[in-house]
Amino acid sequence: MKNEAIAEAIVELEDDDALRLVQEAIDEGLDARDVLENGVMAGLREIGNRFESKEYFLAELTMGAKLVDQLIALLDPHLPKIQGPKRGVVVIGAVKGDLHSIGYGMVAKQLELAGYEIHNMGINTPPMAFIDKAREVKADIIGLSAFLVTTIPYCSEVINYVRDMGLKDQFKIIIGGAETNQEVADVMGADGFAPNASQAVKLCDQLLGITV
Amino acid sequence: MTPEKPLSSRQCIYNLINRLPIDRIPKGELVIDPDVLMAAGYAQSGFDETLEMIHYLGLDLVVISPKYPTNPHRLPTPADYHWPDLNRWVQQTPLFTFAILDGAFEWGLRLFGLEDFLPKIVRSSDFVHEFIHQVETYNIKLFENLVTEGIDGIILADDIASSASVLVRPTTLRNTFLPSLARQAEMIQSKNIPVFFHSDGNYSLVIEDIVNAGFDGLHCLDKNAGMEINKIQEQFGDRICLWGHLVANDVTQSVHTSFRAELVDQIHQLSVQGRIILGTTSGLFTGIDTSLLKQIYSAV
Repeated sequence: MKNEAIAEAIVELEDDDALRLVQEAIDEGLDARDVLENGVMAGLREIGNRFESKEYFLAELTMGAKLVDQLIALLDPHLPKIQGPKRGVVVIGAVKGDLHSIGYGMVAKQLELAGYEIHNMGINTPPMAFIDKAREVKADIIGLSAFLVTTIPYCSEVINYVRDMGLKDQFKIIIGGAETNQEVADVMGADGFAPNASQAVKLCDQLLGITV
Repeated sequence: MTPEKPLSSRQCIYNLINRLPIDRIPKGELVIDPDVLMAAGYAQSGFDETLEMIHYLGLDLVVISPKYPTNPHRLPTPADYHWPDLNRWVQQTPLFTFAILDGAFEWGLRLFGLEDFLPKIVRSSDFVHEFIHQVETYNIKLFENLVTEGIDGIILADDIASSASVLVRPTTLRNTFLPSLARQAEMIQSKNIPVFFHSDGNYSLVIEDIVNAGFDGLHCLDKNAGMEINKIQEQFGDRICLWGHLVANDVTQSVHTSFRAELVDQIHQLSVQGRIILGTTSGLFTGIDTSLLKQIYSAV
């Protein structure tokens, strides 16, 4: 019941209600991971569905994602820490010129919960910063987020640098963000595209040959 | 009927807009980025260099974007505005000279950022109405100054869409932003100055409203965003000029003679069926091969 109420508050973009309900769930000792999966992410998925069906637009998507970021921050201290071997190492962030943390923050959290080691580069990340960090931490995957059409070329820039530096065999590169799609990924030569956080986990698993 | 003497660029665009005979498909670019001029080997990117590039490509129009100081969360004052070389473009060239005025949506995104502005639209109708009113009043003042400078045309630029769709609900646009754009278009036309609407992205959910707002033309029409010029022309071509159409891939692929020939055929078809100004959807930025673009323009 609580998860349904949380999801509904998110879908209706009722920030105060959603924050109150998640805090209540924490105070009641409910499983934080379950609240994240079946309350928060369920609400966000429904916003995504409504966006697909043109009932919601980028405004609602942005507001929903911003709200979910706040809810994740609330839940984060109560989420289980991953034990044992890591599934893989991912360097992730918003590309140069992109000042939006929307979206990729959720991808990072979902990957972390799935057992990936995450290195969050933040927003407006220069191409070489992704590559330097990926080399430093021996990353398996570089995740690039571009929220705007104008910043998509910076995804290509990272991909071109990786290719030109002869590092293509070392890192897989995936892209995501409101204005990206599979076609954009194919054209720029990315290894994959994911439309949402849960698909991003599946994509990373698939690229690293992990079967769950 | 083709005019006896070759039309000047200004006259050609004027005739196209006013349904008078033209002797060619007019061409124009929304932007010529200074980096394009540098890449073409110019040491500077001022009036003379831009004019040379315009002549090289065979364009019939120029678009002047204003310069102004940026203040967070506040519109610059009209006195802060500077229109680079406006007087020279109008007085010393035969080019049809457009000036860009940004709409309230564009200003909102610029002043507040997408993450703050979109929620404001959804949550606060008072704020939106007040802000739109502010921009409308402001644009009218800027336009009056442009008229005294002899401007030929206005582009009201309002990026209301992403490549997927409009950024906010169509009803919100219809109730707030679009009536203001329609009032501005009417006021501009009342001085016998044509006015075009520009938005990137896919605004097909409200395109009919925009056409109904009375604009003389639409710019951009990015097929990569699903804005197919053929379909738009079929639906609205008898009421409005269409400007744009070429995407970066058209330019790149036109290195192949057969591709270019087919593209040129399509463009001729479009010009037979309606009033078009040929141009790229984005304007000229680094990466666009101007020599290939010139080949397309020369072949049309």
